[in-house]
Amino acid sequence: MRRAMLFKSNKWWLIPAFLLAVALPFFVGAYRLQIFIFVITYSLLALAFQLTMRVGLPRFDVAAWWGVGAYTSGMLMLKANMSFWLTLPISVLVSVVLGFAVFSVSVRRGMMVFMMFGMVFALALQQVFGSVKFFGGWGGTPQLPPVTIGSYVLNDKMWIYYLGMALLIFNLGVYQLLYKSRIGRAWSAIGSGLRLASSLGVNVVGYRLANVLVGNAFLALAGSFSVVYQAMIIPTTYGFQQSIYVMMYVVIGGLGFAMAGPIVGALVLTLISESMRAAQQYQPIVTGVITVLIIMFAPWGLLGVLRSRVVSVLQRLLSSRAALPDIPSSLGSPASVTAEEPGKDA
Amino acid sequence: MTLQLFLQILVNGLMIGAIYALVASGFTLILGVLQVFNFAQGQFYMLGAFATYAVASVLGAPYVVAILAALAAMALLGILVYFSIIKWTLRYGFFHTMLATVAFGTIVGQAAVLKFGYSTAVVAAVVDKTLALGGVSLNSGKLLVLAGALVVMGLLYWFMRTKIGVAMQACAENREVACLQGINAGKVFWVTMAVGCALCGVAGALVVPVLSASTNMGQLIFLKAIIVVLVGGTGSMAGALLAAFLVGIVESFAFQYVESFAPLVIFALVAILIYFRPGGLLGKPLPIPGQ
Amino acid sequence: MLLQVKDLWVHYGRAEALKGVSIDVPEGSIVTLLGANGAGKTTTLRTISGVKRATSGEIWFEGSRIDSLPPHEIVRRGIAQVPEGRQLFLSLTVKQNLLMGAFLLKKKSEFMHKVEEMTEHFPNLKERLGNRASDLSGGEQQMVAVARALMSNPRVLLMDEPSLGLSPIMVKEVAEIIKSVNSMGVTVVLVEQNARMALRLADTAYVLEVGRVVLSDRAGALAQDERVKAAYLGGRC
Ligand SMILES: Nc1ncnc2c1ncn2[C@@H]1O[C@H](COP(=O)(O)OP(=O)(O)OP(=O)(O)O)[C@@H](O)[C@H]1O
Ligand SMILES: [Mg+2]
Repeated sequence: MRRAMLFKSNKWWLIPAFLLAVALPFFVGAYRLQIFIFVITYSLLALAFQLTMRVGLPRFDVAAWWGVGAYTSGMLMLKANMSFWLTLPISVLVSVVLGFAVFSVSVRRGMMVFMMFGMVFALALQQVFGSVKFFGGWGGTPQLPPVTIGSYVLNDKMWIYYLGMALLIFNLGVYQLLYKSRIGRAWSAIGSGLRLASSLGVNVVGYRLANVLVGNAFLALAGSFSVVYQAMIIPTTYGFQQSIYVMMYVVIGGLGFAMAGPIVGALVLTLISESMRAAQQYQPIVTGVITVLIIMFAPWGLLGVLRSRVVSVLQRLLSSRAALPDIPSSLGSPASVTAEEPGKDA
Repeated sequence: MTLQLFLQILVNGLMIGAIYALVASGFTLILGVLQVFNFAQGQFYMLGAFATYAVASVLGAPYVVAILAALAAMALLGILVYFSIIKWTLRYGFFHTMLATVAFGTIVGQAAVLKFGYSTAVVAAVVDKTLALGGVSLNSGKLLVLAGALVVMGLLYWFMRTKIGVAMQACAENREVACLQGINAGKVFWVTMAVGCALCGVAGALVVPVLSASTNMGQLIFLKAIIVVLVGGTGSMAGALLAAFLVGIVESFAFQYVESFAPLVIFALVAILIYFRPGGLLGKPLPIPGQ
Repeated sequence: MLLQVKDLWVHYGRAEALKGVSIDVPEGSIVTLLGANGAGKTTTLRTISGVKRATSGEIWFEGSRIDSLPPHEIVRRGIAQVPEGRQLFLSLTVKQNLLMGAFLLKKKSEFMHKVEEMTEHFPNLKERLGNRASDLSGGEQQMVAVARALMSNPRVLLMDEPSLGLSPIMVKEVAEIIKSVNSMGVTVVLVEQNARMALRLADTAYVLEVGRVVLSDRAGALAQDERVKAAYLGGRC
């Protein structure tokens, strides 16, 4: 009974995906597993980006807040000898409080200012991490102490991987709850049109601020997680380029897919760039070309293609319908431009 | 602080301000008219600098010829990008066009690294002498950059008053009504791309004898252009020009006193401005998508 | 027929705005479209001008189909529009606004000639040419909007609620302008909420209701129609 329901909903693929993810460490070696740990981290970042896209705000400070999490945890472990697990709530707190200060300036000024102000903030923050002696400078922090559970030292890739999986599933669960709640519906309303949302009495600035801060909390967690598998924290890891890659993950996966899109995008791009390790200098070019092609020929991303081709066949077999999700229209069509017509000519 | 030092910092600030002004006004132009957030803007600046290097130092042509070559090359590249990428993504809206330019910028940036590596390319200084003005000596190369940039701004001012320039403003203000007048939006778009990218190319060409060219200069100046546009008000050309000089001078002085913390000073400046003057310095931005 | 709209269907997303509208515009006439808010009058004009695409249906002008042409090509063929709410380019000067209207004129001398013609027609604009459009009064803006549309030497002028937001005196003036424009040989399609004025000016009239033509007749006859009287003429000055 239960299984039948699961198959009827379009979430049936969750089960094999989950099993595959759990079984993965038994098939791949430690080096390969590290790549999948990166995939998990990037998925966390992309999920947070996707969260903010839901209210029509693309953000370019993803990597900066990721860095805030990493540096908070790392510094507390280094300077205060704190246990890693104790630093987690603190790093979330730091990220949210600092985020509140920054975003209460920019969120009310609309998408454009939010986006650009985030870039400027990220630039300034990276400068702080790189230049202030306390943070260890551009070369990175000193060697971090190992993360322990009781007396067990967490350095086995397999357990780090499972920790990451747990974090990812926790993320997905919270996102799912949020999206289904009243808050999530308000976010969707904002995403599908500001004017309509505010005419329905939705407090646009308030809900957007809440959304961005939830994103900040998760980004900080992802940052703290990155401390687990890194020997030291290097400021350039958390730079502008990483934020750009996060954007690409989301679009390549599929902008309309809140959960699966970011994960698929992160997985595909990371695996591609990993498979090009021998010709690493060409990797940004390949990534760029793939992104351009996806935007031009599959604007709804890989999952969009998959859903409209393969899955539609499957779904027909399983007799249930699936529609293409919409891109948030506040980004799909600029407010001051009227729809499809001009510019199509020439 | 001596007068000497003060004037030197000021000239330095004015020079980088002028360069920011060219790049940022090109960016604002494209943002306002096409409603495309051109992430690759800085790469055109970088390519302009390398094009100048190629023509002036490698081929040995006169510097003025090199500037014109950089201008023409970047205008052409801008048109090429419009017809090959932007035109096809415009219909998907703001986010998609932005990401297309992000990807293009990444490709160009890495291609430049492959070609030129991380070393810098230098064009021989056009004027090497220092200019002595009443006991104060100033770097005349920097003054020349400033003068060149002012000439380009003058040309831009003239261009924006020609028929096609006015049509660009009309498109920025109200695209549908512009089409109702018989303006061919597609044509206005590619002209805008050409002008916006040529401005960056010229900026790169002007700066290369003084600051030398490097492959990461594009992304750096792009972030600066963003700061300028935030300070000047999104979509405002006059605001961008004014803000560019302000940011250049503030940055120049901040660098003198707090060195690597200059970005923080700029960040504070931007934050204060956004908080108290959301419309930017001149307070009258054009309509921009997705507010 | 100079301009002919045949069975036009237009959608905004999934919502139907026009459901089979047909309109005939004879050469040299004034045709008016009446209807309540949201009836689809603006949509009809936007579709004729090509800034909105029809889902199905045909638009014919001077014997050729124009419904798939880009907007600038339609202007070139001789259909100009005064958009709803005037919509001048407020950051430009009056003269620059006129320049935009004359965008398709090739020669500068032609433009100067047209500007002179317009300032003869609208004497108030003469000393306003250098002003920013945003500095003008509502009535003056309406004149600039009409002048801008006439700059391209159109054969058909589409006017979307030219009396909107104007004082009764200005409304009279606009009516005079429409008459004189028509007497110059320009065919006019007039969309109006002010049905009294429109029916006085027009030769034929169409009444739209939620995307359909529900009535069409000679303007004089429609003005006597009980339904039109009750719905559109009652109580309005
Ligand atoms: N840009 C748009 N997007 C979505 N729906 C629209 C748009 N423009 C018009 N509509 C809808 O199409 C229908 C017809 O609108 P239209 O503007 O043509 O009416 P109208 O007769 O001009 O009304 P009014 O007298 O208020 O100007 C309305 O239901 C309106 O809500
Ligand atoms: Mg209307």
